[in-house]
Amino acid sequence: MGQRSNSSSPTREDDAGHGATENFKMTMLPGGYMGKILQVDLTTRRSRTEPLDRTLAEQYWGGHGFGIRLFYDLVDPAVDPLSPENKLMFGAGPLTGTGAVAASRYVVVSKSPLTNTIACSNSGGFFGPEMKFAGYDVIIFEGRADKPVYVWIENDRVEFRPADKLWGKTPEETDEAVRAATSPHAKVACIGPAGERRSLLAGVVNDRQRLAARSGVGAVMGSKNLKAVAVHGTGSVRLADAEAFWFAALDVLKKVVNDPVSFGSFRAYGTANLVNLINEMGAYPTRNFQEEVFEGAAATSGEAIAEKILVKNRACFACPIACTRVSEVKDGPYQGRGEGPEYETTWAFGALCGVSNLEAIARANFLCRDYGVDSISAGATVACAMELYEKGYAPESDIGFPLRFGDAEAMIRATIMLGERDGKFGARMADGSYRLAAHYGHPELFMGVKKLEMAAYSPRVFQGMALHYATSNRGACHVRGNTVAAELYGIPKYVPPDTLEGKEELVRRPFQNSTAFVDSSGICLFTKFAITHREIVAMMAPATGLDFTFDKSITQGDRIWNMERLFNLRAGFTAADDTLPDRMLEPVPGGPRAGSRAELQKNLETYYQLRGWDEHGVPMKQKLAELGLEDFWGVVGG
Amino acid sequence: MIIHVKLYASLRRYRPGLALGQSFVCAAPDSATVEWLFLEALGLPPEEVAIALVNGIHSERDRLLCDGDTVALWPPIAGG
Amino acid sequence: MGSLVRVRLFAPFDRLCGRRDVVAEFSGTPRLADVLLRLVEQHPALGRYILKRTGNGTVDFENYFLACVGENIVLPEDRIPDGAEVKLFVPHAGG
Repeated sequence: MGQRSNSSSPTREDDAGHGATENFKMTMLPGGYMGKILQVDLTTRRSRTEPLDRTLAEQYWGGHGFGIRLFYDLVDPAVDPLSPENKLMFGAGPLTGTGAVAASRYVVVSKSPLTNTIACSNSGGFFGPEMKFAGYDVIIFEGRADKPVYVWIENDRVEFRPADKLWGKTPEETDEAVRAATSPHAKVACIGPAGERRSLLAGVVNDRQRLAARSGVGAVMGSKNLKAVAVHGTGSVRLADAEAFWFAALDVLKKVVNDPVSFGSFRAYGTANLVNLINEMGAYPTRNFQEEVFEGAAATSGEAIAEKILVKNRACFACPIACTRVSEVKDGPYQGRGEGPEYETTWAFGALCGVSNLEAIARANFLCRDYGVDSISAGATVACAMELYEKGYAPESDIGFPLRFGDAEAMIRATIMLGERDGKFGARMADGSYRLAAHYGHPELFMGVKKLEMAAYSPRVFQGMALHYATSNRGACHVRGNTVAAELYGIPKYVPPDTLEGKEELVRRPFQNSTAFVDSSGICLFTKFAITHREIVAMMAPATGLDFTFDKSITQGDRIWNMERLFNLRAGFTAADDTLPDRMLEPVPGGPRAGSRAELQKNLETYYQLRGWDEHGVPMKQKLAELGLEDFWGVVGG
Repeated sequence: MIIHVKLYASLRRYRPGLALGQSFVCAAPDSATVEWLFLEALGLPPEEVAIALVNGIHSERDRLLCDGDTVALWPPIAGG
Repeated sequence: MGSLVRVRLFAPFDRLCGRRDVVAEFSGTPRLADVLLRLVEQHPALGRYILKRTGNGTVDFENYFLACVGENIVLPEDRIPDGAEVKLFVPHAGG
């Protein structure tokens, strides 16, 4: 496995509008990294490569880490997210493409047009590894093309090609057309029609059906007139100490395939095996978070999916778990086939909308794929619309039909309106439930934080999630600090969901910091049910030849978290934004957790202290110095 | 006493024919614990039982059961 | 009658053994299990990764790697004919 030798390409630009690749000098990092950042200027249709700085690698490790540091340096936090001045970054980790278990991941980083926070969305599939094989750790898109284009990257060669014939196509159609025009071996990341229309719920779709979904990163891509990116590489990822790496990687593989969660339940039932469990706990948000128990849970659970519509599993690059479902509804009004539905999607179009029809939920999932939208936010927006309608705040004349909780057909119609951006109501839905609810004068019906909709775990029951939703840097996402692992399955150790004590530290370190680290490595988070952080570091050190240790990995996660916080503070966020919807402070109306409510305030104060932030949630000088970020002291007028 | 039992995910194969989410009843002595229930009454392999909810609340294996309790059991599972 | 079996090691086993090809001689026709145990005898580092000790002390093989002769997957109890080449690898979902 050798790294391709660096040959400097002559600067050239020909009539076909090929990008110019300037000479570069590559910084040799021993392994893991490819050593190059590709900058693609869509305005001038030129590209250039920069060497990956060794210090960046040592401090920020990859993926999420690279994304935030580069973004912080290159983009003004006040930038309009849909302007040419915003940038869109794809970042792989040092382990991406190495063949370690589940080493498939890459991130999409930008400033979110939905939330105005920093956005970092994570995706699997095969695109990330292919970026590495082509020779790149990071690809940065800047500017705006004057008309729709797609970018074709084959090793050193970067081409800008017209995408007018692709505009309007679904991600699957786009993938097929682009590969036919470039290479059958190309991997494609693209936007669907929703991204083209700059829906703030649009994601970036790779490998036809996988999404870097949240935060509207697809709208950023659409605002740049960038329909797709096709990558093909003939290189491979060099390893600094291949033997030590493979010892560590095989240890991980052994643990993962012998783990009853990763290899047992995930393979058999996918993530939707949680539906019945969260529901039986009385923590399953229903009808726009009005209740926490759903009568249709069993009918829309992972077990029901396995029995009724599951066709097979599918895996990402180098992953034996194969947690992805491929399901099919063979006939009827909800006919369709494809990947999913996952737990979150099953919930968002199921319980959250009061819908018990599994086939309709599957169909909504396929629609989200075809439009290229975040299924969590889309389902949550439909649910919000349902409550607005039922309470008489959004008149039927605006919507065009009755939109009630539990009405599967109406749910599908609303989803299509959202994806199509159809009419005024459709356009409002396409930009998420915050803007929808605010338009009708009822922002209290928006169930999220910082304009990002919450996920399928009630913060009234899981106090760790209450704190995490409130403080997550991209808004109310679950995955960046999924304390349910501890508060329910006991990974790493069981902690009752309703206790408050110790939750601040639980959220901060083993969840938020650790997840940021994992998202930097290139490994899928789902391995973490079988292994810990240490095993990932044990692979990263021999892969890269850098002095990565467990302690440094904790610091690295902390560093990422603080940089994101600084970005957000400079973008205008304050401690007042670390909050929850008022409804979450009201008692759960029924079920096993009746009476329970989110207890945020005390936890938040302690959390800030543990993070080394002042009472306004601003990182203090000492904290920044500890992280090697002393140069950033004072950026927020501290 | 009478305990209502629900089995989920891969544990369902130990009671084929039971509809998803439906409970079945199990007679238990006064001193029965969660562990007694799944080991003795139901004969489930212990490594296959990871999560027990008693009336919706997460419970350890040594929790004593009361008449009329609903016990729901899962194998090791997780999600995202 | 003796037989000769070649083993072709793919990543990561080649790294662990420090070589790509191994030849093993057997009296009689070995099962795959015999070939694998012989490989572990010659390259003990491999043992940690392909053997699994079961509860009652017997030895079993891990299930994450595959062995093939030609295009056919072979299992531990399958006989390997004289002169055959066994390929040992970890299957990846690849592009």
